[in-house]
Amino acid sequence: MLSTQDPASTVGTAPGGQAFAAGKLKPPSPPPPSAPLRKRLEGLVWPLVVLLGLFGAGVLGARNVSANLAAAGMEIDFSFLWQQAGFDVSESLIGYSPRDTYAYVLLVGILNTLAAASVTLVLASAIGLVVGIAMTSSNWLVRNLARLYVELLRNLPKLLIVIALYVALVRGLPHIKAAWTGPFGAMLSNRGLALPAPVIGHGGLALALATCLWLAGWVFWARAVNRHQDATGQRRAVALPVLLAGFTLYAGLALSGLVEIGWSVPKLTGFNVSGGIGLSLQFAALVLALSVYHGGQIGAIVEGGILATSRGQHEAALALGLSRLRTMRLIVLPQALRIITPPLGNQYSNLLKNTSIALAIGYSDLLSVVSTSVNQTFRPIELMTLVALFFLIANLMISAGVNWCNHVFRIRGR
Amino acid sequence: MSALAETVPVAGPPQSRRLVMAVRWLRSNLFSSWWNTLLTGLVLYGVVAFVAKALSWGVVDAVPFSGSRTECAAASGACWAFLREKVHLVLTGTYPEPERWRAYLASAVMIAAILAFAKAPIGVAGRAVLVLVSGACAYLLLRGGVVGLPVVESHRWNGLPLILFLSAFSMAAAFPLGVVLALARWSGQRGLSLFAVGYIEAVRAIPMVAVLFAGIFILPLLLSRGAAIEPVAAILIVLTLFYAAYFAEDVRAGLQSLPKGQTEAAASLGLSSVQRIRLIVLPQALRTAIPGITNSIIGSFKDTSLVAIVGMHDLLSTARMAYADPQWQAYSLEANLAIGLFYFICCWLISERARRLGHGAVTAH
Repeated sequence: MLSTQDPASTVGTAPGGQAFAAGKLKPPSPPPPSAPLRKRLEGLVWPLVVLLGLFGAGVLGARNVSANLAAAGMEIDFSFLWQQAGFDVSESLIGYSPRDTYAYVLLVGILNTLAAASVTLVLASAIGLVVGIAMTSSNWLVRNLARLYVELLRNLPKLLIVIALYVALVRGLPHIKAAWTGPFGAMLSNRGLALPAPVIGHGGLALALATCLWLAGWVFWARAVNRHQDATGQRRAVALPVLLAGFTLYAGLALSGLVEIGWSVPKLTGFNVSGGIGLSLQFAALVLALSVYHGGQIGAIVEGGILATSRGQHEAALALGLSRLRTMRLIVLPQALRIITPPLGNQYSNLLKNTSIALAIGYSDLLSVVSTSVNQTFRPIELMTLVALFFLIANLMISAGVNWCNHVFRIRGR
Repeated sequence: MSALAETVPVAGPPQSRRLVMAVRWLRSNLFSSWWNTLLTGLVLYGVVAFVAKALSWGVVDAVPFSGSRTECAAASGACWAFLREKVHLVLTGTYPEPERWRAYLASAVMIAAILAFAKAPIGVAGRAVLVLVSGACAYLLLRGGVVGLPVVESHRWNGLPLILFLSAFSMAAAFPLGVVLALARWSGQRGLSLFAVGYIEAVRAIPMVAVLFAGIFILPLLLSRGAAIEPVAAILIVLTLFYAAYFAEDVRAGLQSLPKGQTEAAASLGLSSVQRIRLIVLPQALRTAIPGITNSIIGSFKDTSLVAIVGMHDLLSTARMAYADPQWQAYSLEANLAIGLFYFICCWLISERARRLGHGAVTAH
């Protein structure tokens, strides 16, 4: 009867515990010597069965694929990549004509994907930073508005945002003949946004050199300021002198005649815009929608990072007389960055993948080019393999970048 | 005396005390410094301007649901009558008109099943039965071909029943698969965990649109010759395989947070490995993983709308059909707002439910 009061007996009532309760009453006996081996074999049986099953399914699938392809008179063969693609793409960063090869059109798609992703990345990070800081603001109105934004964006499908934005832009913007004009000849119409662009007349090399010099000087100055601050506690300005120096440098170059920069202004010629830089409406809608969408997600990540930074750090910085802006920039954000980096890397990888919804509004990203190619060549396996390869490599690079950042931002112990 | 004078306002009549509190709150929350005051002013201006505009568009100048086409053309605001006119098209798309009741009935069955799944105390086995039964019911209702119902091809299953069918059943199948994958990764069996890691990482690296394309183009090639697969079934399969990788990552986080002592204690109690996992490991790991799983469920539900890209007519694409009608072309915003509201409410309900399921700590990202 004593055993029923034993705490262990409660285990006996749980399913599967009977054997244990029964076994406890028997005198302990040494385990049979063959048990470990048997157990090890038992542990191997199920994984082996599963792996064999998967292997069998793989073999079966491969056999079916080759049989199906053989029936269609095809086999896996990447040589179609060198054939003429013959279809047009809506826009391309490099010169493209339908006479180019499939390999070339895939490159166009990859570049378009990367262009959209990189612009989105910068915009979304900026929005996310602002929203994240706003979410931790002491201002009730700002804080709650930022929360509302994040909560709203968290619960809406990105495709809806892209499509709604695109349709609104196409319908809401004026016809090209009545395009809205902004300063410096910027034009916005339902054909897209045309911006004036600088054109380098001569002295491109000097300009590039000057820019490198300027950036190096910036890094050098920032380091010197940090060292000075570590030594004396006094902080000198960074942004203002650097910008001033840059301005004088470029102004000097332009005035001395070493570099000549022209200005290409968009102009309406017939039914199209020539000159300047043209951003298609598809590109604009995709980038805006994804920036707004991921901006909300990044905002939530930034907020988490800021909140996780210990409050004492913030208060100590204020007590030392640092301004709120400097507290944020010098004390809170560098520490938050450590917490933010891994989920941010995830977001960036999602952002890159999400550019593939461009297909819904007709921007020629990699997947939309691939989709047309599949329809024309019926080479789904080869093309989807290439797509998977591209995204695998891109994601690996993103995670390598995140790991590098993690290494740079890590806490350096004494 | 001075002490008394100071306490008077605090102990004074409730009216003035409330006023003092309100002023204090305003001062500390909205006007604590010149910078905050400026910010408040700017934001308040923006909010008021936006709300005023939205109200005049959506309420004051709008045509209500009962309005007509001609009234809409004359009004400067929203045309809610458009939604009443197109409600069947948005909800069921090109489902044949005399059979529409079946699409609605199937949707009702699936919604009831989802609610029962979330709320009814029926255990794991009961839930499995519920999924199978409701899945069969919804499929037979939508497809027809039994008890005298005419057959409706699956490409005509549009709108609400389609997204309910795809999201509910792909997630119901993906979750157990994800748990198995996570356990395989966690198990320490090198072959299994290598396979699981490879699968999870590969799937997570590829965009869902590419996976959907693979479902449409490659899955049929994997079948033996002569066998065909309907696009809806193909999409259901690839969605399941895709979501499983995401669920597996969430469950892995739960498994990793489980103290090693728990499994060791269970092993020392003599529980077999299956019992250990079923009774000790999974209940704790899944509970810890609830916030992550919720995020994945919300994400998956939202992302099911991406099937529109491979030509399935989900709600986004039926709404597009509705405002493609030349007669009603101007009202895309109304349609998109309605769809947005639908998704917002659904996702909000899911996160509310999860908040109650977990220990009240669903983090927001």
